[in-house]
Amino acid sequence: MLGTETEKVILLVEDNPMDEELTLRALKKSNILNPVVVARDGVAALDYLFARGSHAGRSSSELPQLVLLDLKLPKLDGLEVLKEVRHNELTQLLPVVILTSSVEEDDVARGYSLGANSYVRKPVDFDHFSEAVRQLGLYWLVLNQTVPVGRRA
Amino acid sequence: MSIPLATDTLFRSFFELAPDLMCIMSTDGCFEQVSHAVEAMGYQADDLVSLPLLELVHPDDRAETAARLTDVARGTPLVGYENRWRCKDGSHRWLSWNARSVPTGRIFAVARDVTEAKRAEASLQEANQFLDAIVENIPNMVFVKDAERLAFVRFNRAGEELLGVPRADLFGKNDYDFFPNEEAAFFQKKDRETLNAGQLVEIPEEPIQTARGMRILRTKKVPILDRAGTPRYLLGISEDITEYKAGEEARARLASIVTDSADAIIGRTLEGKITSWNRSAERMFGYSAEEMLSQPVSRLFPERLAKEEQFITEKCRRGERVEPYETVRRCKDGHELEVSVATSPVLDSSGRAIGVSKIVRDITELKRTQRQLLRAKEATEAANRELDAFSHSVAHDLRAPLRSIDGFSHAVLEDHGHLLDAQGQKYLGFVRDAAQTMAQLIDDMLTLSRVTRSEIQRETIDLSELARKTLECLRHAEPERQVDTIVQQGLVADGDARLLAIALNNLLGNAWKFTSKRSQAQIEFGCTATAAAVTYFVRDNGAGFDMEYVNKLFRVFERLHSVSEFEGTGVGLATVQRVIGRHGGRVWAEGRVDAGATFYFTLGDME
Repeated sequence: MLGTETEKVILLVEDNPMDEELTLRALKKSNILNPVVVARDGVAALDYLFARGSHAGRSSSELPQLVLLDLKLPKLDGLEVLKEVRHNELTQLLPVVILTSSVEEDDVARGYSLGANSYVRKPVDFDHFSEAVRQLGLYWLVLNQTVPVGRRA
Repeated sequence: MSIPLATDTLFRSFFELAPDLMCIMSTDGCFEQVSHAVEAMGYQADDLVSLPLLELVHPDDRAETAARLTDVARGTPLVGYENRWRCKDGSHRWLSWNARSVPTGRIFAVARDVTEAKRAEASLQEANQFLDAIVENIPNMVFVKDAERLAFVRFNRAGEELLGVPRADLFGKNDYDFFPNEEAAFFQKKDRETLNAGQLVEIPEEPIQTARGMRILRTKKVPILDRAGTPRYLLGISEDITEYKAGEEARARLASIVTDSADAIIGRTLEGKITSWNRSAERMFGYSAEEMLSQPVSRLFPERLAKEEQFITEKCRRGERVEPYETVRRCKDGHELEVSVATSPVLDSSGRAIGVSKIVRDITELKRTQRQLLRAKEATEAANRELDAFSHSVAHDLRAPLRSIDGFSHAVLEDHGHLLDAQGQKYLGFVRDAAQTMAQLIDDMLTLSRVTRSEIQRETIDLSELARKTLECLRHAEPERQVDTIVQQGLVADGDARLLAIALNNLLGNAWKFTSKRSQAQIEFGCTATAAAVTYFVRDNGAGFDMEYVNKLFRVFERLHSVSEFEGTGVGLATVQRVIGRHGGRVWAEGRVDAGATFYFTLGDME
């Protein structure tokens, strides 16, 4: 269901369905046609990444190309998810971009100290929002050379 | 020598009756006849006949006596010449001589024994000198005036020093010659009172003008009466009490300070016995002075604090003070009082500690206020923490729906715009604008709240550089604008970099915004420095404002322009004011409609 190995999956961790819709719309408008997996809470995100729970059976070596991570999430918040991702050998090099409403300095600082690759605030103006998403996609999916899939540090 | 010299019976009887020594001598000074009065000196009259007078004269007086005898023989009478005679027993007596020569070639001489008179005179003189020495050396002014004219007749050294006038200038003159009329009248009035009353009059205080300025005297005046009881002289003795009075006043002032002090002031000996206890001590501890004087100060100490007093005593013994410290004392009714106590040693004139003085302040109220303040502070901090959490969620939770409003309005316009008429499309545009304005408002409010709450971090800041960068950003955002910017070089200040960046961003951003309708906009950042303060300013030639509304400028949400003219939320200048306020500075503005605005600020001592 999630496409072939060559397709670069984006994991969108987002609990707000409207933000989800807007993000997907922005991706589409920017001609980013990669498949998007949506996790609606922190636990679901980790289940997907580590192929467990409802994602048991998925090959855990198939990691998404990019994780767009919201901070305020049910069950396990974004920073806890990030911590877990960086803690695990399998996912520690995974590009994670925090995409959130908060620009509280604490959140930004903690995000980076836990190993976020970028920190982007969701603009209210949709034109700006889609521009931000476009640039993110362009950078992380096209320009940036990531560690080959399955390769560990 | 056979011719009797006083053979005439009458003459002879006079010769022998006279109490004085009478003698007749030859011109060469030998006795021819001597009256019996000579027996008082142990001689028989006949023993002396034909003896030379000089033989009986004291060797020291002989030369002088011989010369006088020669004068007499030559015709110069001798009156009252005194010399010493040797008595038979070898003692000497003073004789006063009258002598003259007579035509028969003889010398008649009469001598009176003045030994006693001379002795009395000598002892009187000695007594006078003794009294003079006493009067002269009395350290108070002593003067004597004659009773009739009240002119000075005697005066001593202390008086000369006091008045600064030598006594020679005083003798024969009276008070009017030396003192202002009013003073002289007072002195003489008292003199008269004394003389009339015939007894001592005391003047406890009288001012007197002297060469050394105004002095205060305490004077006693006594009449000196003659044997008949008539006053002849007035004796005055004056003590200069100027310094004493000044000391007395100073003491009284100090005493009243001690008495009226709101703090308890307690004196005690090194052994702990209370020596003074003022009114506030009575009020504070409930013990009267009678109850506490001579009592041990330990009565005020709760048992557990006994050591404290020993410590203080030791410090005072070494002459050291104890700075105010907080402790507790026990009152008469047993309850304990929170006090602040300062202690210092009481030193004698040689600098030795002889006691302890304490100033005790009741700080019950102060401590209560402090505790209340602490509680209030804790409550404020708790409220701030809540506010923090609130802000955090505002930032997150309010923006999400706004994003949806904007995003889906955008989606409707894009995907379904063809279903809407122009009016409908315009309205959806309004919805988007409103959502974005609200997002801006939320951001501004968060900044304001952050400016208010964040810790200030002090460092040296290059304001010129900061202003230049801010203007660069503004120019970058609107490269098409024609704006002349002038930034004074080298303006360096102490402050919080982040907060000052927010302030300058607002001020320069405003200048940028309000000059947007100028074809040639000008924005200047600089400073004017006086000795008292450095004042920075941001000046523009933009829309300006009406000074009538200047007070509204810095209030949150107050705006002097409509959003259609110039957009904005009305939070920026309130934020600037908080930033400057937190730096201990002041911000104010001057402007005129369509003639630009200048915003001034200072940076004082930070909190």
